[in-house]
Amino acid sequence: MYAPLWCKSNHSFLEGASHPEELVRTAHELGLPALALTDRDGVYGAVEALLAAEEVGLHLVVGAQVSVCDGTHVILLAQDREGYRNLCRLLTRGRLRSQKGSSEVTWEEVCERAAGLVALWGGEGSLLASGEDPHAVAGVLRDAFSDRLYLLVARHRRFSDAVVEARTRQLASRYGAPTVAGSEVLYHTPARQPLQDVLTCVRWGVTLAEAGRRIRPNAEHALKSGEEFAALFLDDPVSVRRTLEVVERCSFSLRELRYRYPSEWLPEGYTSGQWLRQLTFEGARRRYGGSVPPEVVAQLERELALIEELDYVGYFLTVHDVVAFCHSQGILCQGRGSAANSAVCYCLGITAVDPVRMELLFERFLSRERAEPPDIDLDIQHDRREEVIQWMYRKYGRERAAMVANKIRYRIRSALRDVGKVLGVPLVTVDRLSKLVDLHGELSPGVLREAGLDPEAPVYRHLSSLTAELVGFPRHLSIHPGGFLLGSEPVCDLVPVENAAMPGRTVVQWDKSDLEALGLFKVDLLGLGGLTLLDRCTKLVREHRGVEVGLDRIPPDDPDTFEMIRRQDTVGVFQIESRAQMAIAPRLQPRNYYDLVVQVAIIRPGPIEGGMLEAYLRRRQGLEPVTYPHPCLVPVLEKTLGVPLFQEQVIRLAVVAAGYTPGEADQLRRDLGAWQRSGRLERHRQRLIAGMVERGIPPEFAERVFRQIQGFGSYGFPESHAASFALIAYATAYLRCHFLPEFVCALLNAQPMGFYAVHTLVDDARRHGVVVRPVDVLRSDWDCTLEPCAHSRDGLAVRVGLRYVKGLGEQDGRRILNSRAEGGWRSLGEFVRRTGLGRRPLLSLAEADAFSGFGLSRREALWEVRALLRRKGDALPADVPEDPVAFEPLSLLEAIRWDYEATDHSARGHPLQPLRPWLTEQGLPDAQTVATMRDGVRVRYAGLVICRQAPERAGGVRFLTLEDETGFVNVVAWRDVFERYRLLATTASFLGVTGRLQVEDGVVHLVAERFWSPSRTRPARVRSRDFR
Amino acid sequence: MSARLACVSLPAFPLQVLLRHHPEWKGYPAAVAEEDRPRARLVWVNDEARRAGVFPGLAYATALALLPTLRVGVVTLQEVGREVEAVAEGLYRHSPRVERADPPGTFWLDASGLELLHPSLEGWAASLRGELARAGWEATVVVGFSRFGTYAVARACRGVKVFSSPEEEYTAAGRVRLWELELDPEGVEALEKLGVRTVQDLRALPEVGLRERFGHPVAEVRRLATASVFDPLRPKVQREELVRQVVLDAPESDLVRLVFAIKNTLDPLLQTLARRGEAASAVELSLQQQNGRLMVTEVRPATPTLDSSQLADLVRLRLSSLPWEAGVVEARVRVWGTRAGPEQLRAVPVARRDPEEAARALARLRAEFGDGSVVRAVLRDGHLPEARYGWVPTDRVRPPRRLVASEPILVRRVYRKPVPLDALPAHRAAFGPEEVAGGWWVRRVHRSYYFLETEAGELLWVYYDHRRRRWFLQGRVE
Repeated sequence: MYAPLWCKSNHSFLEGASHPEELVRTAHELGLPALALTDRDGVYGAVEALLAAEEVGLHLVVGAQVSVCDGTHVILLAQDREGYRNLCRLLTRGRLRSQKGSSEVTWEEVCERAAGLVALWGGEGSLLASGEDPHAVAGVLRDAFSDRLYLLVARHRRFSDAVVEARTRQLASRYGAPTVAGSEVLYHTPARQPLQDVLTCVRWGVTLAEAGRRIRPNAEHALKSGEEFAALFLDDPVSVRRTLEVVERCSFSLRELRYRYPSEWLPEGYTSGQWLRQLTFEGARRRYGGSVPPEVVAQLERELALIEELDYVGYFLTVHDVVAFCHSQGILCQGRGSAANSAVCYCLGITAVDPVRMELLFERFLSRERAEPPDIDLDIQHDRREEVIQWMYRKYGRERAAMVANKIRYRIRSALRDVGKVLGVPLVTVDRLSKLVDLHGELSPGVLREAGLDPEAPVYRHLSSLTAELVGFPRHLSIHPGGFLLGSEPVCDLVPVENAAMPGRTVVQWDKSDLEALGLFKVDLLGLGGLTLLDRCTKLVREHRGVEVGLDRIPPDDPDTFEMIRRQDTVGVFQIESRAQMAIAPRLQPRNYYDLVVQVAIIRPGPIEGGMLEAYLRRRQGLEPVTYPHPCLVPVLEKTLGVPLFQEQVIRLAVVAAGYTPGEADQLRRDLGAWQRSGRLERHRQRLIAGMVERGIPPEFAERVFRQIQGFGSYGFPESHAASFALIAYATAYLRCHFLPEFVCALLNAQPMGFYAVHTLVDDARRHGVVVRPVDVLRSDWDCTLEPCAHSRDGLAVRVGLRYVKGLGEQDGRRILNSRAEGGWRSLGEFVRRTGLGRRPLLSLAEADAFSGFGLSRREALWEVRALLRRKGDALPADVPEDPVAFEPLSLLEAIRWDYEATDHSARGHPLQPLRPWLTEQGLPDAQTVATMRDGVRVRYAGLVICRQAPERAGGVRFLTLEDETGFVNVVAWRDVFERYRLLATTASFLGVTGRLQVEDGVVHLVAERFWSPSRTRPARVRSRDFR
Repeated sequence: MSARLACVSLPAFPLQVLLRHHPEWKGYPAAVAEEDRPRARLVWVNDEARRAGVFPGLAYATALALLPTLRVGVVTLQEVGREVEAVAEGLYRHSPRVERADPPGTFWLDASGLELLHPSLEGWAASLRGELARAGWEATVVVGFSRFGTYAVARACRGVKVFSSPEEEYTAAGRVRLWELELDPEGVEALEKLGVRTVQDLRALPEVGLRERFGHPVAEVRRLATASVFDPLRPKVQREELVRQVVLDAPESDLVRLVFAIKNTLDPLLQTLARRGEAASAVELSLQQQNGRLMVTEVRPATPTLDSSQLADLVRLRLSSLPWEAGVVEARVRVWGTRAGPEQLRAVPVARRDPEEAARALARLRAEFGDGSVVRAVLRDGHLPEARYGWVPTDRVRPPRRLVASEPILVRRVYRKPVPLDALPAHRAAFGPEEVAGGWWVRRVHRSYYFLETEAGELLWVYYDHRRRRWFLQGRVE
């Protein structure tokens, strides 16, 4: 018997060729008692290995192969907590001083951190194999590690093994160090040798044909059974036995990691629990206006007791701290996700949804049985998130705050590209295949045939199988969008910290799931454009109307707002502005906040794929009776008319209807979260369906529930999350309904965000009577502003800001504004001289017509600017008189086209406006006319494509939104029609469609029969938002 | 009468070159890409591709995704250069003075006085265009009076155009759109923004203002477009090929006499080379045999030389190694020259012992036994013993490096081709196995290597081939 002590998983990026889980399970199947995971310069895969080891009952030793600055390495294994701390600090030291992706420590540093660590020295890549004199290092290692230094005799049946082994044994006898047998394990089965070769090639950037001796010579890097290993070391059974001795010495488990939140900022005389209680009840009094309802008090007491019991007080205080900072700085923030189920979070100001009123389940957030840390995600207005991140670093210091990692894993396309390159497949072919393959699909023979390739050719068989194996492998470490790991002790005592690609950021080696599995806390700070929009809009309303319309002042269930939503007039409204969301409104008929919660959650793959969307809408419209498959489901599904729409309902359904234990239900929830690891959900199928059928629930309903769970696997909404988003959706809808000019102005300033491109937002505003004025250096600020205008809605016009001029940087904008503040300019010449702007920004401004205030047309301005630029270097620059040149004036069509080229939109008009007489002559109706036509009518329509959607699971159906100066026309193209006109439909900006109108419940769709190119006249090319 | 000038323009020349290389692409959408990689831009596309919505500037992969039937190729500058030369060669048949110009595929021909030789200039231009068409080229021929006028019109129209007066040419050139003139696209775009789209629009702008704003090149175009500028042709003189032919009185089977005849032919060619400051880098022999068969061979000296004896010696060695079937009736000798230093230009090298002598000896060996006959060993980066070294042709003697070894070294002799064994040889000790398994992407290999110590004390290096299921002797240790 033996234990493999030198195992590298695929978390030794681009080297190991097996998942940690595969190594652990195979070790268990081979009857091995333990396994040491020693990834290269990290513990990236340790948590995944731990979970698998716990499941099968294998002893997992945590360690790492540590790179040393002389280009060699040593393997270090953690004996105890101190050893693990030393390992993490050592790796952190090496990582932080090196470039991203590499690490180097000195031998002195290894020796300084020797306590609690076992060192295995030897094998390929070590100093002993390098041919350099190892004696100096051997001495210091012996002194530092004493009897915890083992010389590793590694055998891989290679030509070079004997020489290295002889040196190792010689050194062992000279220093009296014991030898230990081993081999470098890179995969769990020899069948993974090809994949390991491919990964090696990817790492070196070579093809297999060029790889030479960079790839391993044989398949001897697989896990071996006890018998195979004994046979390999037949001549040295002592070294084999010693592997078990090493394992016995290493008793450390990652479960020993305990974590406390910083608590040194508590006010005098308070414990953390008392302080949290104080803050919570203060907040409750604010929320409920002085008298807190008894049911709320009871709920708060219950929550606080559980929070204290589970020792989560510090976490809540920390999140409250972040929220308090945001409030103090006027930064809008709001908790999302399951935190909205907590009354404590509501009272602390972390969330804005009252869970008691909404009857949200606290247990979904925190439960004794689950013994899992709470997860609070904070949405922060996206333009100010960086301020909060920097504050976190300042407050906690670099030592105690680091960002959570995001393991970038291979998806089908990236895998295809890397494997293809390594196999020497022409790059153009690889590129073509990666475009043909579905995002979550596989490289099937059909795809290969479609690309004109022979699926039976060996190279493409290899490409298919290796690509499939590689999908899901981590490729490199990235940074989580906003996850912070904070600690009262240095974070690098828990997990190594390394540099992120973004300057000034550090990142831990574990991702969100790893931290969750170990019960470590994190705070997620996510940027949200919707909050930026809210913040900017409320400020504008205050400034221009003197009205306060903060989130807390918006009246609930405003009828005008819901009426606007019902008539599908929601361009720019958070979450409910898309084509699909608009289309659902007439059928859903939202009338109150909870209807919005449903609307936000329902247009998701989960409800759509499970057939829940249609069922819910029919019940809502009274077209089908509200029934329940089983009486036990009434409490679970009552709120949603007997149809499960939310993740919480699915999980409760598993418990109530399928007899899941809380533990199993929790596993289901976790598996929903790990959707990218295929197969995890599949294991619930049998259990869930059988459980429901057993309780008398019809099999077809059970099957539908499972389909919905699968849908949730790719993306699903919990009710609490939908509730938080619905709040922002309602607030933005209210602002749009009552303060449209301010809303438009704020929306333009909050870009990029939302579903539509800027030109659509501007055209929509114009259709609603808001005057939008073009950019002008004499009047525009950097951001868009509001100006009094009698012709505009509510007497306010939007002046487009300089930020919309392409080619003009923020610094250029500042120069203009500073110069303008010092006194205006009398001429373009003065403007050029005083602002000192360069060629590109000046030409861009001229093309955007921003110099019209000087009485110059765009062409005149361009002619002038070019001359002024030449004269800029003159000692005595002056406006030189020249004979005037007469330029042809721009037509309206041309002027709008110029606007689009310079600013991506036009304040002058819609690109189709000048073409309308011609379009009418051709018998082509506008969007407004189409909207009034009858169901079944055959229509020819031409408009600008502003959006193309190809939902993954829509079976090839494409949705296009076309626009003209009067509104939108939604086009549906079945797969065969789209394929027939693919080139035109995917590339044309101005597109003609002939089809039949489908009108249902006020929702109008044009079902395309053919696409065509409308005319030779070219209106401005608009940017379409294309989604897959 | 003003001097007449003709501009011959072969539009989208690189695309035409590509389609000549791929005649099977006729009728299909086709494009030239700048490089053979997915992100490379398309630089030329044919009408079929344009009709399908593929335009220059699109990325190779994007274009392919849009139009799967698109044929894309890369045309190198060398290929373009070769074809330009080939076209120019043909044009010399129509005018004694031909000038190659940019963009490639543009030529100016002196057409003065040709109306005296041909019934009309239209006829001359049409016959020129017809000949190019027969060679597979699409061309426009414009005969006029100025470089700019003929060039501008040739870029904008197709077929043949002959102007009868400079005024007519001036007016026609004024209608040409600027983007057709292959000017700097950025400048053309900037002018278009001002509404300046044609040559006539450009002429309307003040020259000083134009120069100040758009720089010299655009102002120069305006100047050329406005005034009649004297700009004579700069034709390239055709270079004489170094080739001579000797017709033998009677079929020659005697090698010495044949070599002597060839040497006599070589001497004047070498003198011409010497005058050009060049030396011979290769000699090509085309020998017509009595039985009608043509034998072509080539010899190359170690370094370029003007030494006819050395070259004749190489010729003799090469001819003596060739299988003769009949006597030679005619010999064509062609010499390739290259720039050479003074040492090489010396007609008779100084007789002395020098390192070059070894190289010359290798050249003699190559001449006698073929180009692949002189090789040296190089180390290769592979796992299989036979993949760890290789043989590459060499023209120089590289002395081996001295290896300093502290201990006696055993030499492992590796057989170039492993020897199959019927059975594992009798041995008193075996060491191994060492495994080599890989090559799965081409041909999977799995060998288990052992060192065997035979009863006789020999050390054999053998392996078991798992795929072929037998033992092989890979080498010996000495």
